[in-house]
Amino acid sequence: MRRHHRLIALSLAALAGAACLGAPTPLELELPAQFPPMHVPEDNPTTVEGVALGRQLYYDKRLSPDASRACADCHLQAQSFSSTGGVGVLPHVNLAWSESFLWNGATEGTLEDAMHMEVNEFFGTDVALLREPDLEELFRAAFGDPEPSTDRAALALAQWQRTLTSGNSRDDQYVNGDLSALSESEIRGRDLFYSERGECFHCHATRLFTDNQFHNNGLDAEVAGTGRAAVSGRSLDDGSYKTPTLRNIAQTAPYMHDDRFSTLEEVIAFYSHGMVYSPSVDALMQNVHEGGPHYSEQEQADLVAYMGALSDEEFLSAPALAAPVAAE
Amino acid sequence: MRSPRLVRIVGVHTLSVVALAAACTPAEGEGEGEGEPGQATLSVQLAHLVDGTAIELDTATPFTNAFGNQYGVTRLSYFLSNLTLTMADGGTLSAAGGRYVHHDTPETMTVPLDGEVPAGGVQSLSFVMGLPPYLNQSGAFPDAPEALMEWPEMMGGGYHFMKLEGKFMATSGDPESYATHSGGLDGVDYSFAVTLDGSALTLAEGGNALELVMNIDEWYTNPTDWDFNDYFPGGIMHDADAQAILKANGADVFTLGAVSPL
Ligand code: HEC
Ligand code: HEC
Ligand SMILES: [Cu+2]
Repeated sequence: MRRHHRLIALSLAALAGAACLGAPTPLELELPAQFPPMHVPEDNPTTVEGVALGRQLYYDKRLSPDASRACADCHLQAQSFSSTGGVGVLPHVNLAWSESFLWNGATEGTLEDAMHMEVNEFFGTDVALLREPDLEELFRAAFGDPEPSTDRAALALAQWQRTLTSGNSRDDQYVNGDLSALSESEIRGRDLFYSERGECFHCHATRLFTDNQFHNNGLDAEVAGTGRAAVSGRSLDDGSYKTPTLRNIAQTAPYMHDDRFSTLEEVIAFYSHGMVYSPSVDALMQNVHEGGPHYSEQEQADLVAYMGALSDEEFLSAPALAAPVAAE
Repeated sequence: MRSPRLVRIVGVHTLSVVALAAACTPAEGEGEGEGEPGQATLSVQLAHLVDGTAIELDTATPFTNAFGNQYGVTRLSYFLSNLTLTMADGGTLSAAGGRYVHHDTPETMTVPLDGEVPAGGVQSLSFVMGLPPYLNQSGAFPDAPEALMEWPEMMGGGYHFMKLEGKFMATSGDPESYATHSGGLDGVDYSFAVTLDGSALTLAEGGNALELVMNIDEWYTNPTDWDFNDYFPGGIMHDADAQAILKANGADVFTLGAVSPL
């Protein structure tokens, strides 16, 4: 249960206050066991002050041009930074390992690129609204200059995003040696997940539970030009969407890019017997013509149970990841 | 009030990025031949063919395997290990370790071999298809895309050697999917060494590209003609017989193409 980065983040608020005119304080993010290395761009090192600014901006309505909404209005911590506030709101969890963003991957590159897009294109942030003493102080601490800019806002948001690491679910405890962390049903679900009968592991891959690639998992028969294909122009990508992470999946209902399933039971029933054929359906979706491999009731219940074991309660309630005001 | 324990510099990742950039330079250069005159370098250039035709990833089924199944390819990725070119005079160029090749990522289709040799006649190109056991260790490739080749712990761990996927026309008359996934299963190694005769080839001075061809149709014949209907839908990762057949059929999958200036 040792979560160093959580501990670090906890002291951010205090440190940010203490940080004066000096250079920003480098912050090392300690990663959960078995996670891939995190590659941080050289020109945006993670710092205590940068993360504090990013956190503030994430929760701050002044980031939107009419001060009407904040990122956190749609991206709620208790729901793994997703919500029902829009259709298909993607969670913010372990995005530090993503190189393509949005369901169709329309934004590619680093987290910095993604945050540029969010600030400049999605929100259309008006810098004038950020020229207030409290924010200028945070900008100065983070970048040595009190002048806000959308560029720096994006850099700070990217730093903040790198602290949204979730890797302490019961499944992690199980993988790290605590064999009592999962119930018998969850273990059966896990065995199925990592088998060819399940196939889940091929796409919901690595400890991130996503390959960050695009697949057509058999939701629809008519898929021409949809999903990834709208970006790539390739028929091979028709109906393909970014594989969503399954971390905290029990908290992120409804499911799929169009929110078509409201429960995990429905999702698993879909993978069992609800898939439909289209030419671009992924080669890993077996028996599509019969709707899928037809899991037994027990197998479906086991898979649903296993999904529940991927929730990281600490992440979902960590004060350091909550709105800055609430934390202080 | 700052605790030094909490403020260590994030240096490791930056370092590895720099190292990676340096490692890539020779491949991206224009073969200006920094070596002394008379020296040659080599990049292995992968080509993926069916019956002599370069594949395009597609959901159509334009090819016919030896058994008679019509099929196409939607995905191809694999590991080659310890690529080594041996010259007639015994000199060698090599790329140690496992190299990830992905048909959809052109950069991965060129593997630069380290070193320089005097220009001249070639003896052979050798490599391991897949990862030999000492390289096939879970966690050895922590970063994507290599990490996405992971092979579940409950099937023995390590990595897929190959993912060759696509559609085929099933006996039912419907297009079905196949996923030819190979790897070491439950502690049994199915990687195999390949040595290709290169005595007809000569490396010129400067940078050379040597084409290494994977003849995809050969995975499914000689000695065993493979009927996709026998294995799919279903899967072959857990199937030791299927893994053994792929290993045996794989012996003549690779051939050498021509040497050309880089
Ligand atoms: C009105 C609700 C709403 C607000 C406000 C909002 N988002 Fe989102 N966010 C979404 C939706 C919906 C998606 C998925 C959209 C898609 O993929 O097409 C999304 C996706 C994302 C993604 C992509 C995640 C991935 O896995 O690819 C990122 C990053 C993101 N949002 C960041 C932000 C940031 C930063 C802000 C504040 C500047 C913000 N969002 C504000 C609704 C919102
Ligand atoms: C071929 C790759 C692939 C395989 C195999 C696969 N998935 Fe998915 N999964 C996806 C993609 C892609 C989506 C998003 C599809 C969309 O919204 O259009 C998804 C969505 C989901 C979702 C909803 C996530 C969300 O946030 O909305 C769950 C839950 C899920 N999969 C679980 C599973 C389980 C359990 C298995 C095994 C039975 C499995 N998946 C097999 C690719 C795959
Ligand atoms: Cu596989």
